Amino acid sequence: MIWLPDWRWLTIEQTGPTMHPGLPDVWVNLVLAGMLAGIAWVLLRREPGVTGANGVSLARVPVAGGIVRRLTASPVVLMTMKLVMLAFFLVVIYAGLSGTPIPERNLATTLTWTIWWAGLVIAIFFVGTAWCAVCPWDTLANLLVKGRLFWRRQHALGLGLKVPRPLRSVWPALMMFIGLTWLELGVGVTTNPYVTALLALLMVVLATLSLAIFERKAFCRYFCPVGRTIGFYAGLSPVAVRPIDPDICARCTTLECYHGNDRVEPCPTHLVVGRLQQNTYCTSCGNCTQSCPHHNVAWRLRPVAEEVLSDVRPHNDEAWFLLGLLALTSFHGVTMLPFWDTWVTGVSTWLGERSGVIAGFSVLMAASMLVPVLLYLLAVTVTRRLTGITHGARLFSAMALATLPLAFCYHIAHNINHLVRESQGFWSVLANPLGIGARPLSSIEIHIRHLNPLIPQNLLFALQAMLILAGFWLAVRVVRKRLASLVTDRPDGLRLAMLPMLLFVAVVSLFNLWMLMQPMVMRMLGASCGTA
Amino acid sequence: MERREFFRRGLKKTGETVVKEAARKAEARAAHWIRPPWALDELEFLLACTRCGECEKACPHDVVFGLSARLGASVAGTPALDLLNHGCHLCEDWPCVAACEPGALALPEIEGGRRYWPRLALASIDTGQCLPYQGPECGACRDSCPIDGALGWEGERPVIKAERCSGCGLCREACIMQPPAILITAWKKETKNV
Repeated sequence: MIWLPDWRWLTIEQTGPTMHPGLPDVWVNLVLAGMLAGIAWVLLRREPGVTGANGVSLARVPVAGGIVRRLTASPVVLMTMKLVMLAFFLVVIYAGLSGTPIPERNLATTLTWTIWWAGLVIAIFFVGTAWCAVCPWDTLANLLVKGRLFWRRQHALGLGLKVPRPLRSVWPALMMFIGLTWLELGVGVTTNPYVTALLALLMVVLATLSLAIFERKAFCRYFCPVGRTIGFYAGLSPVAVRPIDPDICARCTTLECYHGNDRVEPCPTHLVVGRLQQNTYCTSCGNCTQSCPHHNVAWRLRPVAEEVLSDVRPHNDEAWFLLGLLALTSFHGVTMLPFWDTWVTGVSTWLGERSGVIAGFSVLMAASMLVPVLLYLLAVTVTRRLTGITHGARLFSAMALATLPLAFCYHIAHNINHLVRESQGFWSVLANPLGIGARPLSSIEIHIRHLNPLIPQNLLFALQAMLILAGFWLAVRVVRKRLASLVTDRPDGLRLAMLPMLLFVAVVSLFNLWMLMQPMVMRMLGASCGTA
Repeated sequence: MERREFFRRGLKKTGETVVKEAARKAEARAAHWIRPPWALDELEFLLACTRCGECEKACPHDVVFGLSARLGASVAGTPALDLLNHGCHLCEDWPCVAACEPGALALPEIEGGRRYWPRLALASIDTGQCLPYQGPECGACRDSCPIDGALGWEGERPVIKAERCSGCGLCREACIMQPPAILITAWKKETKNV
């Protein structure tokens, strides 16, 4: 009989007949063993791993290649998809504004938060930044400002101003993302169809205004929190828009991908395909596939996380965005913990808040987002002391990449849980999008949602455990690869230099694992109406 | 009409409309949860409730809980009934109501000594799950109902009379089936345009 440790003492005690369990011990033990193996591997291995440009362009794959070439040759499929998404969007707006206020019965809340926002993060892994190509915010803005779905307008409409220098970073997007999370978890937008619709309209207004005022697509490039999150996460995706043959791009002098041609718009985010090394700002819009005179742009299949492991270095603002993603994803998890509500009301009372708890919530949100950031700064500072690296800013931004797989994998693990439990009954909402005459969820519906997930519960647990392990594993590899390229002068000191960051990565992974281990008691109306 | 009068009336009308609309919105959203017995109408309730948590502590049966912050800061921490996990015992002396100092929960004037029941939720029987409807005898919920005439019997089969039922969920708690054969749904006050 093998002795296996019992981790139940780590779970917060909760009682109630309607409760779904957290990650069981067997999976916890597997993750822990995998983490130990990962640390051992990275410390014992001699030479740092070499990652070259691997992968294959989908246009060159025997059967799929033909389909991909046809898809890139004409924008008909893309335009159809845009119109379909636009139709869904308009129904969401209508349902939100005039439908039932019961969130589980209204298409606005179920489609936006349960299906789209939770499913989007999972989809990024499989299709990269494809969502941006069919985004209804941008489609509507384009229709309103340019009167076009896709093709270029000869006489440019809009002011076409340059974006002011202070705004030319991902800071605006990060601020919007923090604001969105504040609205989502603090103001309760996810449980309010009416406000959900207003928020969606606000995004369209912002997209339209920036398209009318600034050149190209400033909203997508600098301001959109969803687009930038997709962009950064897509760095881990095995799918990317890239040249089919890099040599053709190397010889190209006309750069239609960047400038566009008389029929096709230029790249909305100022990218040159030949020099494209990260997915971060690509919106998969399809302009370059249309404008390239050599038909040299297509989807490329590559190893997972290749771009994060390669030598692309994030700028300072991008590093902060990555830290923001980490802080926001773990904050999402924290708000699901049983003591969160007690804390919020406690802090709110302490602050002397009279109606509502929004100040208490905001203070706690700021505090809990600060914790991972401070831990990271501590780890980077210690690493710097140990290695004597002089360029601290480079160390800070390079190491931030290690937080990306941690955030992404936990985000997916968290979202899968929501998706397989709460998306049940979606078809009946689709059949009655306004929820006319619908009653709130009955006790049996809540019971089914939380105790009979769409996939077997053990499969769900297995996926969550694998995701936490994968996140840890990728993060460890990023730490090793990045540090090795920074401390080239003293290769023997690499092991010691890695320790603080490895510890940081392990602490974050263990915390995420612990959050997934917590059971959840369902209340009448469901304790977790929000998602993501 | 004088100008002053015009503005005075106009403002009054606008004010009334805004308050009415706010009340309607609050009431419609409140269909999503079940307030403790004798709660005021939602908007008044939200204005009165201080989230002190006294009703939660006063409840001897652990039915009252504070709403999650995820539902929004305006309702976070205000009390609701967890009829999914417990039934409300409709206690003789209403301890939750008695504990409410700001009067967000308030007993109505009772005329002529007759006892009134609050309307909490809707209860109905899932006949596909309830044993006597499937054949075997049961009767587990037989003596669970505190209200005369709300839980009736057709032979061995229980029947809920909606007009008498308060939706307290005690019959659901007594049910031996898993999941229980009695469905509880938040009670939605009929509001215009919703």
